[in-house]
Amino acid sequence: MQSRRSAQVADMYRRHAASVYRRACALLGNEADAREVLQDLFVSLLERPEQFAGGSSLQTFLYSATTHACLNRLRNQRNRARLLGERTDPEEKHAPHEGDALVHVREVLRQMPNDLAQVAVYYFVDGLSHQEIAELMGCSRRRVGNLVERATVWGRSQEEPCSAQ
Amino acid sequence: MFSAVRRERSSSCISDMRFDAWFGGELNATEIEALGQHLSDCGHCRTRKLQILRERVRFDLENPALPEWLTSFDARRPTPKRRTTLLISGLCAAAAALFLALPQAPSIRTKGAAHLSFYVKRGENVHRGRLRERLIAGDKLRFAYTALRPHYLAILSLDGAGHASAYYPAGTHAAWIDAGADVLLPSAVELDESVGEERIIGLFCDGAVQVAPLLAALEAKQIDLQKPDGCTLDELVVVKQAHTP
Repeated sequence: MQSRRSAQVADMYRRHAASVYRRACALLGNEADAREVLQDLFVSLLERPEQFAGGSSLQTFLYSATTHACLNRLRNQRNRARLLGERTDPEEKHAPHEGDALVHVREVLRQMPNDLAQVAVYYFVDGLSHQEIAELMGCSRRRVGNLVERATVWGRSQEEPCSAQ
Repeated sequence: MFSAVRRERSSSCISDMRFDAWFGGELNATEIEALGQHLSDCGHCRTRKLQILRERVRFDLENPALPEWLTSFDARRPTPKRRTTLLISGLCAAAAALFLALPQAPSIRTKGAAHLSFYVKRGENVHRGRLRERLIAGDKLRFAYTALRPHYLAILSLDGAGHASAYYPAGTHAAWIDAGADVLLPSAVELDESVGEERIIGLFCDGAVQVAPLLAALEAKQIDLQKPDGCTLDELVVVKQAHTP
């Protein structure tokens, strides 16, 4: 017999795995890492079901957990490359259909403070409204607006300066 | 930099998170109806809905079972009593962002009676099934349903040779489904070599009706299924053809 817990997680997986995977692919830019995030997330639900206490909707929990997992993975990739003395190559692993914009965004997300990186993912990559982000992050819309503004400024500061003609 | 990746949409448009909640069965009937009303007026959201649905269908069709790490979790747990795991057909992994050219968006039917829809995977292509869709052996079908309230659902078929079978659920009784629109069912069906017109009947019931008597009734009468009390019925017809390479 399947335990109640694994049956519940199997049901969650059946209903939400595709959206977790789609977002992870978009954020990480490659399928192998996205699969690992998908697996890590649902295995952690099997091992520690208390982390989703039902205080928010399952969808909200999964969006937030996926974002954290992907941002951690992006930062770890950067740290690993730095420790090994490698250069993180933005062209290395991204899916072939992607434009340069998302590749550069990923590079900036690796370096941003966590709250700015989260809001940048929700607002720019997911295209969510301030209200939706406020619900995801558990803060006010005003705070979200402020974070979006700071993330925008941060992103601009990372753009390569135009060459003076 | 960031603004280059944000998909612009009007403030009333449906976000991906909302679509995901919808397709994940997280919304109630009132919320679904509101989305349906918006979709009837918004081509942008209809297109995005189809994109997300196609990604979900492809994800599911390419990986027809739950992954091993999930199904074997109980067996691996260090509990005193080892348990065998029950395989539930379902989804899996695969399918990066595929922003393919989309077919014309079909009309959205979120009002009215509960009904079935289906997707067809042939080779690498996935498309939404149409009425009297012509199918060949090896095509994989994935069913979805739209229902404004929870039901028990059974999907039966009567093939051209008069043989009845159950596509859903795998068990002996109709299975509980939540309210939702275009909610994909967990398993895909691969078509066999039989040819001819096939009726696919979705029974949306108030109770967990037994499947076997329904199959017997379907086979015996060949044409009309005796609709059990408390059930509404939706019927699709597909045409299975011999494969001509």
